[in-house]
Parts: sequence; C-alpha cells; structure tokens
Amino acid sequence: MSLAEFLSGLNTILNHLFGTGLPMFVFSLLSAVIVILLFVMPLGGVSTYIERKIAADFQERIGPNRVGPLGILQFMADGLKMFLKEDTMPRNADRMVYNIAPSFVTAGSFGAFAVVPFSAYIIGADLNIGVFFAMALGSLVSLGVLLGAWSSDNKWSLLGGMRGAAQMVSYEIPLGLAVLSVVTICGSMSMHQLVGMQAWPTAGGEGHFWNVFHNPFMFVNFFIFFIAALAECNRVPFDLPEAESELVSGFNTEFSGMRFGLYALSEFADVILFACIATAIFLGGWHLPFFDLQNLNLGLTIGEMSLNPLIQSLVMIGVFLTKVALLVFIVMWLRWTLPRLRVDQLMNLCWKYLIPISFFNLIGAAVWTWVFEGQSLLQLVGKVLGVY
Amino acid sequence: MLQEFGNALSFIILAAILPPVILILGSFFRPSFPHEGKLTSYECGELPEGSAYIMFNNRFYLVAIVFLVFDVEVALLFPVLLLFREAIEIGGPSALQVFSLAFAFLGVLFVGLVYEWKTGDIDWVKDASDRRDVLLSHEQQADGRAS
Repeated sequence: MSLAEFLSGLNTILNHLFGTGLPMFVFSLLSAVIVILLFVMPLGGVSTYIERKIAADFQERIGPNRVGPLGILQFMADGLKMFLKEDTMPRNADRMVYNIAPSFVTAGSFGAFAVVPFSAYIIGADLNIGVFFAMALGSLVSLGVLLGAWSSDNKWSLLGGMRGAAQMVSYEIPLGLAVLSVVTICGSMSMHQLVGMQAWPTAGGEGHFWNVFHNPFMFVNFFIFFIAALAECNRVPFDLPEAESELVSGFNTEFSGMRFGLYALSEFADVILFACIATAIFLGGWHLPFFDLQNLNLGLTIGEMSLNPLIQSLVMIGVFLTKVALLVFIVMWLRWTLPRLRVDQLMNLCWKYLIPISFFNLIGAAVWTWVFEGQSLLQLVGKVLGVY
Repeated sequence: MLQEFGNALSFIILAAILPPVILILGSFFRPSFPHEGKLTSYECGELPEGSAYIMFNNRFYLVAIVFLVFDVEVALLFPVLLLFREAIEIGGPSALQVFSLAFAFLGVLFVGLVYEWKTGDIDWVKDASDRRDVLLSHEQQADGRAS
C-alpha cells in the first residue's frame, strides 16, 4: 500500500466534517511533500552536519559546536545563509540551461525516493518496475551535472562536468548489472516484493534471507553495487568531478548561494538514496535475522482497531534507517581513508575489473537460481540440517 | 497501478519544481548588486582568457558511445531476466529458452567488450610504444618543424 493510499484514509474524516473528500492527486502530492520536504531534505541537511562531525573526529578536531546543542542546528544556519546569499550568474552563461540544471539533479536524487520502501506499509509509489525506476531517475543526476557544467562558461566547470559525465555513465553499467542479478534471482522489480522475499526462511515460506547472502555471487555483487554507487554519487575516492585540489570546485564552480546549496544537498540525498536502494535490494530492507517483523504482535488496540501495523511500521522504519545510516557512515569513513583515483585508474577499474566481474556474477547468479530452483544458500543449509 | 505511477509522477514534479520555487522565494530576501567583476567567469582571479568551450579529449566521446551500447543492452536484458524465475517454475524448455536468449545477448555484449579492450578504446592512456608508424610520423613532424 502506498503512502498516498494510506493518507486517503483521511477522506473518511473529511467526509464526516465537511461532507466532501479530496481528489486522489492531492494525497499523491501530500505523500511527495511528506517524503521529500519532511524526510529527505532534513536528513540531507543533518548528514552534512554528521559528515563534518565525523571529519572532525577523524582529524581530532571538535567540529561545529556553536549553533544549538552540540552544533546540531549548524545545517539550518548554513541553509539560511545560502538562502540569503546573492545569486550571481556569469555573464556568458547559457541562461536557460543554467537555470534548469539544478532541477535535473533534484529530480534525480529526490524523485527516486518515491520507490524506497521504508516499511511494509510505507512506500511512496509501489511501482512494479521499482528498481528500474530508481536507476533511471538516478541517471538524471549525471545529466544535471553535465548541463550545469556546460552552461556556466567556465573551464574548471567544463573539465569537471566532462569527467563527471564519463565517470557516471561508465559506472552505471556495473550498477545496472548488479541490480539485474537481484532481479534475476528474485523474479521481480517491485521494491515491495524484493524486500518481502528477503525474510528469514521458514518452512514453505517465500523468504530466502538477505540477497547479499543468497549465494557467493550475490555477495560479490553487493560490493560491486557499493563501489559503483560511490562513483555515481561522486564521493571519495571517485570525487574527480569536483576534485577541489585540482578543479577549484569542479562542475559547480560558478554556482553560488542557494544554487550551490541545492547541488550539495542533492549530492547528500543521492548518497542516502543509494544507501536506501542497497539496503532494500541487498541487505533485506526492514528484515531482521531469525524473526519476521510482520509477525510482531504486542496486542495493543484502540477500541477495535489493532495498533499492530503502526508499531510494526515504526520498528521497520527503525531497522531500515539503521542499516541506511550504517552504509552512509561507511561512505563518510571512506572519505577520510582513501586517496582520489587518477582518471585512467578510474576507467580501468570500471571497464577492466567491475564490468567483467559483474558479467561473470550475473551468469553465476542465474545458474545458481536455475540449479537450486531459486533457493538461497541458507535455505539449502536449512534443508540439509532439517530445520524446516 | 496507474495510481502508483501517478504517485511517482507527483514525486518527480515536486522534486523538479523545488529549485525554481526556492530560488524565486529567495529573490525577495537576497541582495542583488551585479558588478563587472562578479559576472566574469572565475579563473583564479585572472581575467578569463577566451571562451570556456575549449577542445577536450575525444576519449570522453568514445566512452559515451560505448556506454550507449552497453546501457541499451542492460536495459533490454531487464525484461528478459525478470521472467527467468517464472520460467524455472513453469519447467520444461522455457528456462533454457530464457537463459540462452539472455546470455546469447550478453555474449555479444561481452565480445564487444573484449574487442574494445583489444583495440585499446577503453584505455584512457593509449600505449603507443609498439606503434612505430605513430612514433615515426611524430618524429617526421618534429623534423619538419625544425628545418
């Protein structure tokens, strides 16, 4: 059930009060507002603060500590500052492209949150082509980066943008092949179903535990997905498009004030998005080992209505976001661990290592699915031991 | 399902109109004092030289072309391999059909990759040490310039 459908339950109350309900598209927009404005944007803001804190810890500094308790409101102060900054556009810039470029980036990184399954009951849009939709929208980001760089009439921007385009399109192929292997072993592209299949295995159940432990090929594929996603988000060690020590600020050199803020925010949103997708398709979404949260029953009720879906949802969101936070932390950790790659190393890593390995893994995953009829390693071990 | 696509569309629309809305809202609050120095392209404090649309390595173009081929093939493989589990459950020759279709397709792609690899199109820095003709022509050009 999508979030909009859930919200349309308000119509019964509205009908009761005013005698008329609201059309469905209002609830669609409302669900988008809830996910993007109330969840993704604040989370992106908080993660800029967390990144600075983590950076400070790694370098034995204190980091932001002035605004609010422990400096937690720093991101709001930064956002307000950028909102009030003068907006300058280079005189020779391509006006129209310069203005629409940030929209591509935000559409790619915020829009794809529509298919992220936060719990069994909360998902923006339960599309039957969920993963494909997320990948397709994710590739809009590279278009936005290239357009922004091209339109700003600056040599640094252009160099950064060309690098960014080459890097992001190259790494989309191993990313796509890793997602394809998940689709092969699960036989579905709907995020909701993909997560549902990763439950702890039970007798006669569909669940085969997290895809990352489905078979050895999938285990390798998770790391390929993670590396390719790092490159898609332009994060260290793949931050060549904005390499601040070579290209000033890369593709967003000429973007000032809130325009720069939007680029920075959607970069963090992109990291969170790929962490969400990795969690959903590889790390089992909201599923925990040994216990299926959909069987959680505390027996609380309001009148005749059971509170189970609400409690389950909250626990599921907690589990899901914990996994996402762990992945995002690893991304931030890598930033202070690895040096930047050279451009020829970048291309070699993609075309000569990741793509052949992911080809091999795709064939391996397909053969495994065929031979063992879609059962995972864990299910096979369970059968041998006679657990189920 | 149409409703779900409507939900997804509302996400995309909201995400795409966010930047213009925020920038237009901001224009009521932020200062605007355009100045000659602010409006020139940034080149580390120097006056910008010429247009920014410089010539760049045509490797970027080659990568884009190779990507196009690969990405289209990956996108086309999605619907085929989506049916793989279903084909296994149906049993009989259907699983073999899907498997051979998908991997014949993937095989062609792989042969393409090997070809690119051999011709050196995916090497960012081409090794020309064994290309005597290239080296010779460079030397001749250098000689021509010297004389």
